[in-house]
This record gives sequence, structure tokens and C-alpha cells, in this order.
Amino acid sequence: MSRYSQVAYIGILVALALVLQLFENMIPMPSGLIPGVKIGLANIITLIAIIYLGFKKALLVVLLRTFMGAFLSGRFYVFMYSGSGALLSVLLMGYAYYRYQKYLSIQGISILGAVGHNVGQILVASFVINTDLIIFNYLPLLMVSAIFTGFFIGLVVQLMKKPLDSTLLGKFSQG
Amino acid sequence: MKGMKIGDFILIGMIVVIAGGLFLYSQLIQLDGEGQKVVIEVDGKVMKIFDLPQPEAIEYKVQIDQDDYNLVQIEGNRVRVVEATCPEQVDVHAGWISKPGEMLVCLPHKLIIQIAGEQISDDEVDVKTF
Amino acid sequence: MKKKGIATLLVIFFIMAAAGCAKKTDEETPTIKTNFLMGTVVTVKVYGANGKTVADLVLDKLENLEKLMSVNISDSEVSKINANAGIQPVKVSEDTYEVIRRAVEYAEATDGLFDPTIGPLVQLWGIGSDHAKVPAEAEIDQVLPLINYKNVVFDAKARTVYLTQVGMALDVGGIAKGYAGDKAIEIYRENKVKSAYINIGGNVMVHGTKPDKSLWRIGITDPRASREDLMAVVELQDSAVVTSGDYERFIIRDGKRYHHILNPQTGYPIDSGIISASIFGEKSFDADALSTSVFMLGVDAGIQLAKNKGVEVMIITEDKKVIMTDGIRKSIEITNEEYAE
Repeated sequence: MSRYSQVAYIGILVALALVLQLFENMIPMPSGLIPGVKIGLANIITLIAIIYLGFKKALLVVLLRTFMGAFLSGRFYVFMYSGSGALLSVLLMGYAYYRYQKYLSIQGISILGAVGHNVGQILVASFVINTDLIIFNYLPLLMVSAIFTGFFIGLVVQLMKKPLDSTLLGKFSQG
Repeated sequence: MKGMKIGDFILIGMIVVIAGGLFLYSQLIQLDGEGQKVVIEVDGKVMKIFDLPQPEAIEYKVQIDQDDYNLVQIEGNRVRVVEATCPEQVDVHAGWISKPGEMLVCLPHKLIIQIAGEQISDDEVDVKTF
Repeated sequence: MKKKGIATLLVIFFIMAAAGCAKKTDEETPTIKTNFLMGTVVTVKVYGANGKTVADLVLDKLENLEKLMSVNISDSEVSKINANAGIQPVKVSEDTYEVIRRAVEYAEATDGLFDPTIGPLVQLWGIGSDHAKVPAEAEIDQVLPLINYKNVVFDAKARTVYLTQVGMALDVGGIAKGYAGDKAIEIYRENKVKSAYINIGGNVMVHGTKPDKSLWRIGITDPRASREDLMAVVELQDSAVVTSGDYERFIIRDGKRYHHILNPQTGYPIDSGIISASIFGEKSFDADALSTSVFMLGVDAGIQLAKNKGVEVMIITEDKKVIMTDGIRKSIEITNEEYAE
């Protein structure tokens, strides 16, 4: 795949991630004290990017969509919270994908990503709000819920594998 | 479940263990009295106590009698009365409170909402000048 | 390779996160130390991991300053100046020089109502010691001529202080506390402390905000009740709060109360209609000098002086009326209804 196609695909993925993020914001979720607690639909894109474009480009996709997402929502703090979560998430998923493919299925990797996402957000939130109570009060719950949301995301990605394999993306990652 | 591998289960197990550990620890440190609480009293009797901070916004309706009520909202570290049938609306106008010793009062309802927690002294000051 | 890079990144991330958590918890643990220094009770509260070290540094500095300036220590620099009054100049340290120099500046600003050469009069009355008395008029008349800030001679190059008349004596015990407060803040800054206070016998200096970013709550004592009772609370950050009152040190003789703020011109406790004056300012030295000065000057001249010097003030008169400058009103909450503006 030429460089231009890659750039185009990156652009598409970022756009898709943003759309998913916007769509998710419309779903009422009890977010209370910590904004950014969500299903994490955008992680579908992140995972696809890791699988088909490689870690470095996936990182680029994540950075771009986080930045643009915060820009679009008009609030800076969103960038901090979801950015840290997304960053940790892509790092963990990328590492897991390369190192542990033998032991972890796509769902497992996705669960790891979801946990990373929550942990990243909580750490930043606890630093900004200047309390460590958040870590103990919310993290356990978020971690367990990450198992479910992560699994769901992983399942979605797995279902998309066959259709994606036959597109240009699929041929790129195999070639 | 398509292709679940051994690592998946190990991962889930670890998450549950860590989450459980954090949770237990949080219960332990609460005993030190680190947490603050919202205490809602009507006519001298304690109606309800909420821990602070609250991750999600909570609304609690204090039903005084058939027609009268105070709608209490707790969010994060702070409390307020969103809506009430108090004639003078003193508690609603007070807005949010968040520090130990602060209180919201509705006299006709004999309602007091206080934040209890670590207090430095009866006068809630950090230091005195004289 | 790629894998090692990711691994290192992760490790670094987690170490930073863990360090961040640890650091934050440390920043919320306060160190509280209390000591009897400079003739009064001193309390230091410092938040942060280095709290204990910093608190010790502060208390050491205060002990140092006491050794230099206390008139109750026979070989302090101030005592030496007093012993050499009318004889010769005495070389002193920078701290002592600065305190005396600035005290004399305040004497000039108040036309002598605030006068650091009030030593002989203070000794005569002995308020606060166990030989307190109401002196005879003749005794007071004898001592008054010795009180004159204009007879303090400075040599900046040699860093000496000279009292020109035999029998003159400096008393900077009060103002030294103000100076000490500022020194404590310097120590806090040098050691990157973000949240702390020091209370030197009622002279309060708060540094930064509290760890949760809220303002420090400083209680103002009710002048006519016990020290535990407050009449107001002021919420501030990075400020000095110093109060002069007629209730801190006094003696009662024949049913009459004599407080410790003596008028250097009459020789008797000042009667200005004020029972308490609290100054709110940036520097503790200025707040200290001004609280005494304002107390002496009375309401109108006192408010004028405070405004000139760029500080806020709250005055309580003998009929429990409260007068305050506009700048501090929003930060003060009067908690005792007996006091009102």
C-alpha cells in the first residue's frame, strides 16, 4: 500500500473514532465526578489500527483522535482525561498484541486496553482533583466493568476481522 | 466465545484480584475516619448518612410530611438542596456546601444537613490570631 | 527493538504514576511542632514530605533570632547595645540591624508613638513578668526622657547601633516576632513548601493555601472573652495576620486594668478607644509594627496609616463596634453577633 493510501486510511480511522466518540457521548452514562467514563467504542478503532497498521500508526491514530476530540468538544480537560486513558490503553494493547498473541485472544487484549484506559483516567483525575480516594473508591468498579466492555469491544473487532481482511487494509498487514 | 485463550482468564483473574484488593483497602482506610459524611437530620433524628465523595450524583428526597419535602443533591464532595417546599428557601439559596461544619437548614421542616468529618477544632479554624 | 521500547515506556509510565501517587499522599501529611520561643508559644504546621526538616529549620531560626534580640538574654546583641548605651556603638548581625533599622522607620512614621527605645518604660512596668506593678508618676517621669528613637545612631557600613544616652534601652521583643514570621516564610519558599503556617504567639503567617487548595481559616479572638472564643474568621492565603489587643497582657490594680501597650509619650497604657486591631498584609514585620501603631493612633489616624502602608485592618472599639477597610471585608466573617460594623 502506498504512503498515500496509508495516510488516507489513518484519516478514515481517526474520523471513525471521532464519530464513535460523539455517538457515545449521546448515550447517557452515569459519569458523576469523572468525565470520560464510557464503553470505549473508539477502542474498536484503536485495536483495528494496531492489528492492521501496526503499533506506530495506531499510536498516531490515537493521538490524532484524542486531540481532535478534545478540540471538538471545546473543553481542555477532556483531552487530559481521555487522552491519558487512550494513551495507556494503546500502549498496553500494542505491547500485548506483539508479545502475547499466543496467550491472549483479541478479547483479552481488548480487556487489557479497557482496563488501561480506566486506570489512566483515574490516575490523572486523582492528580488533578488532588485526592487518592478516587483510586480506591472507583477503580475497583471501573476495572471490573472494563472486563465486560473490553470483552464486548474485542468481540466486535473479531467479528469485523473477516470483512476487513479482504480490504486493502487486510492485504497490507499480511503483505 | 470464539477463540478465548488461557491468557484471557489469567488476565481477568488478575483484574478481579487487584480490584478486590483495592476495594478492601478502601474499606480499611475509611475506618481511620478519613472519609467525610453528609448527615441529614429531621427534628433531631438522623434520617440518612451518605459518604463523601460520591462518584455519581445522588438525589435524596427528604419527605417531611405529605406535602413537604426537600430534595437533596450530593455530587462529588459537595451537597446542596436543589428544590424544597420551605417557605423562605434558605437552604436552596445557600447553594453548595462542602466543608465539615457547614450546614444547610430549613427551619420550618426542622431539617439540618451537615457535613461531618475531620474537624480541626470546634470553631473550624486552622489557626488563631490574638 | 520495538518491543523493548514499548516495555521501557510502560515501565516509565508506571513508575511515574506510582511516584505521583506517593508524592501526592505525602503532600497531604502535615507536620505540627510547638515550642516555647521568643517568650511565647510558637506553632509551626508544614505540609509535605520534608515537613519535619523544614519545621525544625524554622524553629532553629527562631531560636537563633531570640538569642540575638531578646532583652531577657544578657549576652544577646540587643542586650549588648543596651549595656553600651551612652558608651559606644555595638556591631550586630544583619538580622538585628534590619529589625532595629525598620523599627525606627516605623517610629518616624508614627511620630514616635511606636518607639523601639521604649525599653526602660517596659522594664519599669514589668507587665508580663512576675514583678509587674503600676509605677509611681515620679518614676515614669524619670524614664520618659530616655525614650527617643531619634537618639538611635546607625552606621550602615560598620553595621553598628549606638544609643546615645546612658540608661536608654531597646525593646524589640514584639517586632522581632514579626521579623521571624517573614523569615519562616523565606524558609518555606526555599524548601519548596507549598502549604504551611506559623503562629508566633498570635502572630499568624500563612503560606500558600491548604493542600486542598482552600484558603486558610484564621480565627480572630474575642477581645472580651477567653482566648478560645472567636468573634470572627478570616479566610486568606499567603498573608500575615497580626493582632494587637488590650487583653493579651495586663495587670489589674485597684480595680483598674492596665494593658501592655504603653504610650511612650505619657508613660501609661494607651487609651485610644481601641481594644483590638488586626492587620492583614503581605509581610509579618509590617503587620506587627502596624498593629501596634494603629492601636496607638486610634481609629481615624490608624485607618489612614494602614491605607498609606497598603495593608488592610479591622479595628474593634471599646463599645464593640467593628471598623474595617474595604479590601478585607469579603474575606471576614463575623461570627459573634455582639460585634458588628
